[in-house]
Amino acid sequence: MKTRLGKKWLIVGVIWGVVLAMTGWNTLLVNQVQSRRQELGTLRMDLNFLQSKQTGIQEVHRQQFRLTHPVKSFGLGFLVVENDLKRLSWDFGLQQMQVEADDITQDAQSVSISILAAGPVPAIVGWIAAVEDAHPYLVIERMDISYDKRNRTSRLQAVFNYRYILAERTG
Amino acid sequence: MIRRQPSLITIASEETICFLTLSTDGCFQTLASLPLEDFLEGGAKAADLPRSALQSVNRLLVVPDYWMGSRFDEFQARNKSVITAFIERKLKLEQPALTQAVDFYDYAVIQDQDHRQQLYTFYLQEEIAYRLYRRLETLGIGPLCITTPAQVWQAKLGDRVEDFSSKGVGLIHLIEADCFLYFFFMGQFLFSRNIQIPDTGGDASQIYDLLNYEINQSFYLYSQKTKSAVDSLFMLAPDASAVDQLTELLGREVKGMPALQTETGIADEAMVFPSCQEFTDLDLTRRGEHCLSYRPLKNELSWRPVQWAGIAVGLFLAVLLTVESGALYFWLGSVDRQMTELTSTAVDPPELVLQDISQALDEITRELERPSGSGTLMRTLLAMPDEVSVRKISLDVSGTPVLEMEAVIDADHPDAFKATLTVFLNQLNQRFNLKPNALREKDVIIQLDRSEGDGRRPVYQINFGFEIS
Repeated sequence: MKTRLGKKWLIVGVIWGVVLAMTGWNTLLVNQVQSRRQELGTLRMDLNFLQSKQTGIQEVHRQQFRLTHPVKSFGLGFLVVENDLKRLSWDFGLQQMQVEADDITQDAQSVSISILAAGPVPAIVGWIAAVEDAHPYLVIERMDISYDKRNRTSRLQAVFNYRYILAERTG
Repeated sequence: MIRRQPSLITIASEETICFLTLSTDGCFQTLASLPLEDFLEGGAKAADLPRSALQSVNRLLVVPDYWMGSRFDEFQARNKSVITAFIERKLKLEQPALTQAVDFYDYAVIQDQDHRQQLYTFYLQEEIAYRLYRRLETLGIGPLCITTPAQVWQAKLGDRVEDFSSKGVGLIHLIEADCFLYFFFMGQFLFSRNIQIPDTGGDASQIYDLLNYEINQSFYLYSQKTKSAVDSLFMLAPDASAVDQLTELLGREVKGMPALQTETGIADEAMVFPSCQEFTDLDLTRRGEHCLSYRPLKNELSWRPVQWAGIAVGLFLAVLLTVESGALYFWLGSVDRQMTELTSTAVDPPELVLQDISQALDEITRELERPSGSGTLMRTLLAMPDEVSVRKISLDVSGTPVLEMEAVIDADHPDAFKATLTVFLNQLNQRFNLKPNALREKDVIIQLDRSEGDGRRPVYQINFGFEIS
């Protein structure tokens, strides 16, 4: 009889051990369910946000895309840029336009371009404005505008940062 | 299926021990009947007992009346621990030879006729009783309760006799060859006697004369023990006329015992225990206070309700937790499915898309925060009064954007120069929003150059720089 009672205590112990273990396990599961439900809620909100702001997101990407010039090679890209800058200088009546690129390194995605030009200050300002508007991937790092009293003209000396990306297909 | 263990009833006399079990039809069946001394000495091995007996729960051991001793003590306390300490001390003092009696006793607290509290203690007082218990315990069939025929009668009379617990009661149990006399005081067994009926050759008067004598002797003993008389005397006999005969002989009323249920009485094989002949399955299986248990076992058994409650509550909780666990797994699976469905519809993971957007916005914001070259030039030119001519403008945005400027101011005299310079600086402060670190005259390097112009009119050269926020 004593053995039976002892066994019964053992059974009680085992059952309550199982109960405690299951309580712990279920607590973990509850936390897991809560965490997953939060993830699901976040995912739904993200998807709803992305769906409702599709136009805005596209605009953001378009703006970002404009900050880098997609080119097949740096040489081709620089040629385009040089051509555009010179064409604009003609449009604004600037003279003696010189465009030079610094040495580039492998994997570089931006190159400094030095520019020299001469002309009246309003023309220089107009030219810079036109470059900034048409070529967002050309960012001014430094510029000096000095008045040449002898020739009665202003000289522009500027360094632009040319950001490009090598791409197979270019817009 | 949980199978309930069969119940075993053990009846012992001086010579024999009998193992009974209750069959499904409510009748007792004898499993084994063995010589007691052989059984105690181990001559009767466990193998002599049927397997079913060894697998049963021995619910009751019935031993002869004289194996059980009893005593009344006037005692005021009701506290259980005080009572048990008192009894154990008394047993050790007054029965020093019975070292095991402290493990085999029980008690009842009663009120006597004068409303004084009495402690009734009953205990095993024969060495053979302890040996029998140990032997049964060794075989794994230690009895849960130990009682005597007198105590079984006590329980039966308690049910049938009015005010049994408050008066003196005697019972004459007459059978063919024996007559048992039982006496109870305040509902508790006091003493019993076994009278062998001699063979009188059909002359019943001799038997009644003998009984008359023995009963009167017992009355005397009763009055000596209790200082009171027997109030009611009952008789159970096969012949109904015996009641009248004894009433006449004793000169006092002897009441016939109310009808007893004997249809489920103990089996014929157990007739070697004549004192138990009238006992039914109900008498031997009822749970009452008229028996004692081995104290350590009783203490353990007192935990049995706790064990069952623990098992029941534990199982109930385990089932609940299992259901909860299943439900949680179901929810988890459901949430996972929904997530899979949502993510499968999206081309890229939303968090990656959002990360891209965030990076794009950062990049755009950085660009927007950079001062525009043309804008800076325009603001500078617009801030210049007519008297100011630019000589050099330098803009450096590689680090913190800084604008440096060289200019000349056309002024007739210092006051005019100062006024023009103040206007120029105010305009610059306003257009570049330089209020926190506003440009002041002290920040400007001023040089007077008379080499230019007509030599009489001075040229004021200014040189300064400031950070563009």
